[in-house]
Amino acid sequence: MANQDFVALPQGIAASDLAVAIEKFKTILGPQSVLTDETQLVPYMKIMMSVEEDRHAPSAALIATEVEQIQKIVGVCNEHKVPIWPISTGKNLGYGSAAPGSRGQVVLDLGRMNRILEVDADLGTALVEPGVTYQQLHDYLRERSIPLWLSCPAPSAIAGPVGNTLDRGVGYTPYGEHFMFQCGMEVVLPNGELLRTGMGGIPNSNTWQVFKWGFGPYLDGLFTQSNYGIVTKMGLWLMPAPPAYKPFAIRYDDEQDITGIVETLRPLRIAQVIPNAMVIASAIWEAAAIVARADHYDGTGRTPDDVIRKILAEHQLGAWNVYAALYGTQEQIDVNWKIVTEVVKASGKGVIVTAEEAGDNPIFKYRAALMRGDMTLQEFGLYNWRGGGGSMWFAPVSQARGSETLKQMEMAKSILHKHNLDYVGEFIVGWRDMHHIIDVLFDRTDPDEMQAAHACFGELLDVFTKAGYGTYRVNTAFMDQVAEAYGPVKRAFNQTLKRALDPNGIIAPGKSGIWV
Amino acid sequence: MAMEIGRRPVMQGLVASGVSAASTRIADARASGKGDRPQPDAGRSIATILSGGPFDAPFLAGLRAAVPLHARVEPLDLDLQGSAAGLARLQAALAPGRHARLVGLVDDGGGAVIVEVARANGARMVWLGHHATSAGHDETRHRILTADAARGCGTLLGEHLQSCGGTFRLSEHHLGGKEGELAAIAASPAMPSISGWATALGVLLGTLGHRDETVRIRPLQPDAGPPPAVTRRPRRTFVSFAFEI
Repeated sequence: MANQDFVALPQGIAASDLAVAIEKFKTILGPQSVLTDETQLVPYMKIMMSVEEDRHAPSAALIATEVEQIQKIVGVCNEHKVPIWPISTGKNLGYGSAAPGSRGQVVLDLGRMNRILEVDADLGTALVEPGVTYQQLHDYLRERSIPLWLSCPAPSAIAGPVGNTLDRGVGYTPYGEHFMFQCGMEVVLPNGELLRTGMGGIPNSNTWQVFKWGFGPYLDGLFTQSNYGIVTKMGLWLMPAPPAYKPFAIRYDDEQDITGIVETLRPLRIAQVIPNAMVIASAIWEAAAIVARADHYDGTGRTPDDVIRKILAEHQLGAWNVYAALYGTQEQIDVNWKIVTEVVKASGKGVIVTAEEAGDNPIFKYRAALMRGDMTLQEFGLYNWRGGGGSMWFAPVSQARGSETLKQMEMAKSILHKHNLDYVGEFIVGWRDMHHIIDVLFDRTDPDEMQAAHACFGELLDVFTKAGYGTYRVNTAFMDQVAEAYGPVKRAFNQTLKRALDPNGIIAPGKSGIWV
Repeated sequence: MAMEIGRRPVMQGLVASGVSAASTRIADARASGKGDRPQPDAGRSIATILSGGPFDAPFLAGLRAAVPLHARVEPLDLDLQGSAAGLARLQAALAPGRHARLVGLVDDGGGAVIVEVARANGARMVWLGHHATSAGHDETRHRILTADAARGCGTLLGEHLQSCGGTFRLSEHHLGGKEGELAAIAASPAMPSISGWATALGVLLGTLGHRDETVRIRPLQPDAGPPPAVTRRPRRTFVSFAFEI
């Protein structure tokens, strides 16, 4: 291949070296699975961040289907110092999508490594490859009448459990903290060796997917949000389908109600009366699922408060909208429903909406689907709110304490409004924490707005860090800044591990701010 | 290798679309194709995805005017956000080996899903555009990402908009960086038709992948009337795309 044929080059790699590596990749995978043509690579550089696409242009993409291929690929990468950026289904939308962390890195696409290796209906476990999608697993269970439920993030059908779990994503069921319900990994290490975590290293073990810890240091966490290996199999626990399910919403009219909402519902969550990762969605998040901003407002800048109030009134939405569910036998649900309704009534605020009362309300329907792990793409409507293809998730962690959530909301709003952007946020209630998820939406067709979004995101990170708040996840353009926030010792420790495991820095350089 | 975007059919198409001004300041699309990509075939069908927006009709009119006579334009009815069936239809449309092209003009939510599913299915992306129309002052904005097969065509669209006298901002990007940037402020307060950009876009995407000799531009309508006009001037955003499957 002529040098000039590469559309991008990894930093410090000569085209001639890359060309040699590409030929070796073709020998391993077959020529049709080594993509270097622009029309094949452009789909990998479709980003939603506030930076130019070419910063994330890959030099090639490799389509692997077997573990042995990946072991050989890392051998070639080490030999030629070629960096690879592994993706599973590549649906990390708003966090960098499928694009490599920096220009020229070779994408290792595991999307077609998509076998469901095992589902144990009795134990509620599954073992899957990285390319398995939630839709695929959902269909597998339904076709075999296996009474197990998934927990999936909002992109559900097109995303997959391995990628989401490895990025420590969340869902909306009682199993919503996905890494907590992960059990056992197979990992190709940077030197090509194959590691099985937990109980997986024992020949003939049948406990790999049922006991997480194994013996000695627990390793699985090292392979999440990191670049220490390539996960090629992952075990996860699936939730037994309950005999009964009762989703419900609680609408609150006043934005200041967030304090009371959290104080009212936290005890129910911690006590597992409400067992799922319930959400508290802000006004615009709620509205964006069904309307575009342009339907109600033709101006520029942030959406005025009176416009938001009008939208809420027109569509009968709350300033805050809680979605939660009860699971179990009908008797269990009846008991817990009585507790929930009495607690809400005693708080003096909030209007409870049941499924029967919601009827065909599309927002309630998609929230109810997510809380039982069903497939829905309704939340893609968020991208229509402002339009223009810009979306970056700002995701600080908050205590599940009302005063803290109010403080975070006000801090975020103030910064977003300063940059003429909207606060589109929701809180996902964890076991003791709240994932405060804010979609920084902006129009990439407007260079000024894109610049504003970039400045806004940086300021959000700065201000929240100074206030003692860290983000749990971030897009590839801001990973170094977030890594820095967690302190020099943590960052140096990550680097020490990287240098020990991957001295040539071939796997996802820069992921989570970890460089060799 | 000969370029795949012929200047002549694009120009013919824009003229036939009925929205082109007399200006001929349309630059040649640049040729930078590579040799290992399947050649476009005028006979392949063109599946079209729209999302019920105000510019569907002018876009489709432009597309139909530009595609080869024996190619079929098949509008796909998708409701990606509302139903699993919509996603299944999209998956089927993107199934490898269909020997088709998929083009469309959809909302941002639909566009995000389509691009992701297309990549997963190994579709080749030639064009990805984000478009915004503003209310009141008739400005349009366009951010275009092109592969080599369409490189320069974003700028071509911009030059067409310029010749029409519209107010717009356009930038074209590719894997190597920014390809071009154009902006213009209309001398008169409004373009001849606010839908002109959508018709021109339809023509452009209908013409992508066809050499001069394979394209026969037809009138927009049997009676060769003007393109459907959009009288309301909404602030809207859209995603346009062209895939080879």
